[in-house]
Amino acid sequence: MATVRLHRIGKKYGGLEVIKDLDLVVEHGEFVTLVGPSGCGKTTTLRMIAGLEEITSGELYIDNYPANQIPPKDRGISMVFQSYALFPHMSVSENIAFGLKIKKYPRSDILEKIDWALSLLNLEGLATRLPKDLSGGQRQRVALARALVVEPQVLLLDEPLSNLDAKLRLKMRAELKRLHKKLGSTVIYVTHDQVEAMSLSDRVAIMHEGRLAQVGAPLAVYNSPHNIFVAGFVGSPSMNFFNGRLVRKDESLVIDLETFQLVLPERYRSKCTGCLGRKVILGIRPEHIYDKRLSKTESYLGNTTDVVIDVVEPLGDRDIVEVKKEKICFTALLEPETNAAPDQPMTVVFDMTKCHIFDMESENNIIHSP
Amino acid sequence: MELRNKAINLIRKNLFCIIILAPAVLYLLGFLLIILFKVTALALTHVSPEGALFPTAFHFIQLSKNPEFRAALVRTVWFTMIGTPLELIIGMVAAFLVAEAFKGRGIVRSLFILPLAIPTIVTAIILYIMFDFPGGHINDILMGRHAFFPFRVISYPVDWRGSGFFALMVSIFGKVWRDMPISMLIILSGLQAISKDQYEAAKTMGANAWQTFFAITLPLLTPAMSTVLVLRSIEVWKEFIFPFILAGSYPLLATLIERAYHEWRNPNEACAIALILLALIIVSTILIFHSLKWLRMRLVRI
Repeated sequence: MATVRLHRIGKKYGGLEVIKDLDLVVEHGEFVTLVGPSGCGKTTTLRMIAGLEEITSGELYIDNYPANQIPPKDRGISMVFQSYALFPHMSVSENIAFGLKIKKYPRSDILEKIDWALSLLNLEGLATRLPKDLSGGQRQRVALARALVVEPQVLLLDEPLSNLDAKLRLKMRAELKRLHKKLGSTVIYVTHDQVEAMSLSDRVAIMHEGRLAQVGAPLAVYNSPHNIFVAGFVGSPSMNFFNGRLVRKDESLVIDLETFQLVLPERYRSKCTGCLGRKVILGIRPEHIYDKRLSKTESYLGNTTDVVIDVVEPLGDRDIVEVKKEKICFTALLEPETNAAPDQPMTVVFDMTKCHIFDMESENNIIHSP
Repeated sequence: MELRNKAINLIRKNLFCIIILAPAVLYLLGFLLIILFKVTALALTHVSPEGALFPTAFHFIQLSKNPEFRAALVRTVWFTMIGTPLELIIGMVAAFLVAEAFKGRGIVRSLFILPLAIPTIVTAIILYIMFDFPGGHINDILMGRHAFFPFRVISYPVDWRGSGFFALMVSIFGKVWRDMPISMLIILSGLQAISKDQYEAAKTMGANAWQTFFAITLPLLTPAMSTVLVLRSIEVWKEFIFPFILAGSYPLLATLIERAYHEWRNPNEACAIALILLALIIVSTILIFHSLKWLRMRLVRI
């Protein structure tokens, strides 16, 4: 186990700069996820840590040693590939043994470690099978066993769950978390799925166009996204954004959305007064918009508006409801008791204590600035 | 009556399949089974003034006593044992060369395919002229008669076709050169089927280039290699044109068949040689197949 430190890491392909000045510290035993849309550079970053991709600029430290020039095999890393990259001609135990065999472990040790890895990942009984005779979930576990058996200082996982079906993915997610708890190894995980990132990690590093948009604990990035990108990326369904203008009305600050106005809670006033009169973007998550009839809290009541329901997507425990207010469309996550039906009118309440206000130009969060 | 209707129905239902398969079935019957049957019958028949004898091993016994046949058999075995691995190795080297992406790879690939486009007889004649005696380009070059190679390797011209060793080596050279594209293409397709991820996984696990080659590339290439070896060894066993043109005095089994028929005027013996060649090919194919399977198991053992 070790710390991994990226200091102003950059990557260029010819003239194309895909990673820019990336700074990230992964602590000993920590589970950190690099997450972002495809093409954001997360896999490239992981491959640079693994040593499969050359680092164009900046320094990488593994266990406080500069590692830029260290070949992959001496970095103390293990990597699980998106495709698993199991060797098709080797049985499960031969696959697991490969790294140990290369490192010239004595045969008795190898056999012992294979047994350990097989039981750790519940693969007993599959030792002699070939990868082609395994299910997707089993292959995935073999890939993990193969990575873990060499006792890596850092475990690198590149979208390991993306080839599994939805149900299996949930199961493996829990299994990964249990495994990390048990082994306590340093893990760097890459995924494009923000739910996976949030549920697994100690901290998530959200990447956007080759830069780190925000690093923090899952709840921290959910509750206080630093910019519009993070706000829109984290959370499902995505946050609603409204173009508006910050104005003063009587004693309080109000966001004028042209068709309706929303009053800001008092505690945000000091942070927002600087932006008075400017164009801003209001962000509010679907789960912070309620049906007025079912809302218990009186204090929201100032911030209501009448809408027409457009589309309803029932999930069972909640309904994803898309509503329209003249030209403005937004999404609310409502309780099934609302009995939302298309084309019905309803009144919604905005919980403005959970809102975010972004500067139109810089796209940074005015309320939760870093 | 009912049975007849059933049969007609069955034919009607499968008419399309029957039409599609008919040419292949006719081909197998006409060009394989009937000929094989005829050849076997001829090989087992001995015609003498007293009448025809069937079945008899007479020709096989005669052949086993014939020093020319024995020499040809030994030559053929050597020819195959040298030629087949060479075909594989040259094909692999060429495939590895063009597998990596580099500038002008397309041109190099096309150049490598070129030998296939030249008629075999033309290649054989070119080699005949190159290795002629006492003139011939190779002799000229080795004697230092050209400015670009001013070293006098030999003092007297070599009679390449007059020596069994050289004549067969030149034949092997021609054969391997001509067949290289096929071996290369088969190996290349095998190489490209190995995903990049596997090499990277091996790299992160600490395998160096040699270990990766022996633990991953080679075992995953064994299906392609076995295809090359089986196909090419059959071709080398029955090779005719190159030894016919370049090693006329040193017949292999395939060229001996021609000699038995034309010079000895003994079609029965020619058929017997053909059957022996066929048996050799079948045995060697089985051997190659199994030894590669063994090699594959061997390379990945814990």
